[in-house]
Amino acid sequence: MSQAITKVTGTIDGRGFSVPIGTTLLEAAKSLGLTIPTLCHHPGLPADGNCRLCLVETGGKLVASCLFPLRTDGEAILTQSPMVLEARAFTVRLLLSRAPEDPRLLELAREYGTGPDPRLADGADGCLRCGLCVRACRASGTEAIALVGRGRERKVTGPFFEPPIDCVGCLACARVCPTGFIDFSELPRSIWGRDFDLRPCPQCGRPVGTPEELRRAGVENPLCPSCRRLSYSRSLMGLPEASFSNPGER
Amino acid sequence: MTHKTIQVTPSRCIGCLNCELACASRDWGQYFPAGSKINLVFFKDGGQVPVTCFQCDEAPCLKVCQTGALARNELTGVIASDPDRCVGCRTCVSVCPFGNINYSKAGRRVEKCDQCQGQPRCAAACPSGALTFVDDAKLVQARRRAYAESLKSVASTEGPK
Ligand code: SF4
Ligand code: SF4
Ligand code: FES
Repeated sequence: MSQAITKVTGTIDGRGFSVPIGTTLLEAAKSLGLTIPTLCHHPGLPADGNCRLCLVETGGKLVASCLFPLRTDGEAILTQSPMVLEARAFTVRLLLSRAPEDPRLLELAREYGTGPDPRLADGADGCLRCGLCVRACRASGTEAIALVGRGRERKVTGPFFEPPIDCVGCLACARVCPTGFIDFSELPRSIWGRDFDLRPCPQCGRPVGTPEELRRAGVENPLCPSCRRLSYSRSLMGLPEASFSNPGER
Repeated sequence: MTHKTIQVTPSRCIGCLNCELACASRDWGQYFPAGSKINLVFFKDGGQVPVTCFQCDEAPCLKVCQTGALARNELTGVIASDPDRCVGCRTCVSVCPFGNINYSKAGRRVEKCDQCQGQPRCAAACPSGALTFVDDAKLVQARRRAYAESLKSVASTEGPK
């Protein structure tokens, strides 16, 4: 029966689930209302299994739930077993040594009874090396930054450890970063040590976006959204192009 | 299921901003213009018109979004945004020819009309019948053409002051 072909069943912490084959363990847990802590997971981006915070136990092994697709029936998953709690505490300890002041990690450290590892203090720059920024950049249509190097040397950077030449200044990476590590400014626009021009709206002069991000979107010299609304409304109403007044700038 | 559309009758709009207020309040609990997904365009030479997403058939915003944050409900034809999936690249904002998607820095997400999942608050709040939620059997393209015609006839019969 189609039900049997397309669905997979099992238990999480003793509670039964039935979800479409290929659903990740994390999503299945969410559908049961269970929360598994995550840091490098973003629903809009491919999972990467980088932070290891979402580890759970199945068949005596630890797996990253954000990455693990459910394919076989009868999986009995544990999200709070001693093995899981111990691994999670260890993970929080490692992450905390990267970002010792991050409020979310401090909260997790309290929850799992751990603290930063003083022996790892020199890598404490606030970046978790979770790679969310890299994935957000790629999804936005650019590959300006990457995770480069191994172990404690690993870091997010542009090519040759220089400010990323391909960066368009859209700020998506900074928006998804869970720790706020990435310094940026919206106005004037700057990020990753680069300053960007902002193209003004040809009609009202307000900044619309960097030339690079507009080019990426395939638009060269657009009006700002509110002048776009004005412009087509005027033409639909048969009015000549003209300046306008809006209550409250948008 | 029939597609429904928010029909705008410009001649009936009295410029009260109730639609913007109702829209912004849904997600923000308070009114500020940037929080609204329907926007009044005020003409310097008199008159105004409320504008919001057309739920285009060939929607440029939908085409560029790579995270699944923008998705069309095939039953209703409505394109809604999922803030959890949005990474804030703002490409959709750049490509909307009508300026009907905005990015909210405060909310870290795009602001886009989703017709309130079938109960648009703007239409309910409109006191003058300028916004009505009606069945739309026609294709979106035809709908937009009709809308353009209605605007033109309004402009020619009543004219801006
Ligand atoms: S900069 Fe932020 S998003 Fe990028 S790897 Fe570091 S913590 Fe993660
Ligand atoms: S800003 Fe958000 S909704 Fe718009 S294209 Fe980017 S990810 Fe998609
Ligand atoms: S959330 Fe699964 S490894 Fe980071």
